[in-house]
Amino acid sequence: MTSKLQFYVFDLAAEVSLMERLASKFLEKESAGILASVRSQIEILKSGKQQITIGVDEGRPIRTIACKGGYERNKGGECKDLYGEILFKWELLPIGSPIKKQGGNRRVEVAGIASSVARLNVERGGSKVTLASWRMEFGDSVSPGSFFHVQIPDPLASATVEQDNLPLEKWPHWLPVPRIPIPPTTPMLALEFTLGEIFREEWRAHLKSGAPEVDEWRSFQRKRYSRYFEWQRKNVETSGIGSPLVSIIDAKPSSGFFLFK
Amino acid sequence: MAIPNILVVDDQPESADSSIKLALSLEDAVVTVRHPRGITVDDLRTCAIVVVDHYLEDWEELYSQPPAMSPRDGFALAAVLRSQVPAETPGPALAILTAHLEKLAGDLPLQSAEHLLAWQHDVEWVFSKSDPALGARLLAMADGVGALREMWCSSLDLDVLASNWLALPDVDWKGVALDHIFHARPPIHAVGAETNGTSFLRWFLQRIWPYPSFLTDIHWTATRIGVTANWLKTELATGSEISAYLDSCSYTGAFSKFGSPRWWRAGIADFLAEISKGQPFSRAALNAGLLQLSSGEPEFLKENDPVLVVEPESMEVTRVVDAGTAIRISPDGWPVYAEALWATIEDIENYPDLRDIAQDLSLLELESEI
Repeated sequence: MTSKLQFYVFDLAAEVSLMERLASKFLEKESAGILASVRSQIEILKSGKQQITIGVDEGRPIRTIACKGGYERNKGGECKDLYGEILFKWELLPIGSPIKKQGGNRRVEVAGIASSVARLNVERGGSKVTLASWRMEFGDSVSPGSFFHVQIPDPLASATVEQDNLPLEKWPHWLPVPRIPIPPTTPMLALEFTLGEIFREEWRAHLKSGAPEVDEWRSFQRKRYSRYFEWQRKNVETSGIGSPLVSIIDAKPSSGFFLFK
Repeated sequence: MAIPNILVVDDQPESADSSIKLALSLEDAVVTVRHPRGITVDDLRTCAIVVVDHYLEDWEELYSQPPAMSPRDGFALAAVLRSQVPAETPGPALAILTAHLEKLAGDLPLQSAEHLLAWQHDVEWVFSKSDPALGARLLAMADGVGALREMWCSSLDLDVLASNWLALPDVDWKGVALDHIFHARPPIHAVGAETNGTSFLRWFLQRIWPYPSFLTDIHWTATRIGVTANWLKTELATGSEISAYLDSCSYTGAFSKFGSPRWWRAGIADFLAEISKGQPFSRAALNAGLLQLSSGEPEFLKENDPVLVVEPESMEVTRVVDAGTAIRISPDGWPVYAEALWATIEDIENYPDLRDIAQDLSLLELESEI
């Protein structure tokens, strides 16, 4: 059994801070304040004594601007007013005592839900209509399926139903599969993925702009991805299970998977 | 703490004597008033602040001197006096006193004129003679300078400085507050040492005190909590659990009596986590906590995403609107480590000066194209 996945508070805050700068021109202006608020929530983990839930909820999601058809080449998508929305909820427990010195880092562990939801919406008749949604999650040491996975669509986007009734509708709430293996996706990576999907060319052009935050972002995320793929490569090569795919799905990361010196 | 010395420099010492002494209680400070020609290096060495009158007209011999030897106003004289302070001594704070702040401010917003003028002219502060709190503010400045002198050394540690001069309490959120201070780039190393603390003093007065950074005033604090500033002011006087908690994170360090009260931003964030039972992102959890701890029903902000906006004429920052109706702006000198400042879209459309400093105009244009 593996213990709970840990992060440094500094890394969580730095990731949000970088994304604030990196994505600002693709986000609705209100989202700048929301990301700043997320950063502030994360800072509390350094002084907190209890489990803290960080996130953004339905009432105040992180919203992109309209993509103007950017989900296809040359902005050829027909739906010009499609926009993205990110919500997330991470339940984190600070480890050890509050840090009272400047620059001191603190570890937190994922104590429960670590889930990010992306939605693609349009506004019609004054209402929001969700056209696509997916949920990117971290599992835990005993959860079935891949530890880092995506569920399509986000099951909570469908109408909630009584589990006992098991209605035969599409994507019912009670059916949490498929849990498709993906690289670990933090809320900010969920946002990046969404931006990369609906602003396909603009986002890539932005990443080539030479802005300092781009270099920092690449350096910051590269070590995570490198560790993930190295870990999965080893899982495939060393596992006694007959199927590499099942090895990938069944692998559970160690608690220090995201702790870098 | 010793009674501070305040040196007042005026071309009409008799009138300055009476106005300053009216503002200050004699027990609070030793006030020496000098005509510019009577200042000695010893005066500069022993006083905590030098307050120089801006207009210098009664100084006949000045006009017969070559330009380099004739400072024409208080700003120029302050620069001369600064150069006369012995290098090894932490210098006094240099401030200008004027009866014409509005005229001196020119196009600067009057709301920010005191620190922006000081920033422009290489002094620590510019005071208005008509400021009803002039005496209290001079004393706060003198005390702050005195306290800094007592502890200043060439290798000052941020923790020591924060714990003493800034009176940062030894609480769980201390590390977060220290991070906030650090991110605001306090000049306490090479630059601070080179200037014997003067650059640090100026950083605090001109780059921290006027802006919402690691300290925030009642408006920024109330907005962060999600209540109106008026309600919070009233609540603070009730002795409720909310007021007790906010008291514990109020700023009591140097210059705390220089203006309106301030609170530690890190302390407020910790407060929000506590009252929301670890769910600070949830407005419902926050409001439930506030309701439980307050003396009466709080005046919650109605805005879903509340932000403070600037008034286009006065540049006052007291009004809250929803972020959906506003755009972030970057006024000259607004520090990058400070909270974001906003202006309403309506004001930006009506005031070209605001449009010039709007950060996200491209977003507006994008929206209008769709």
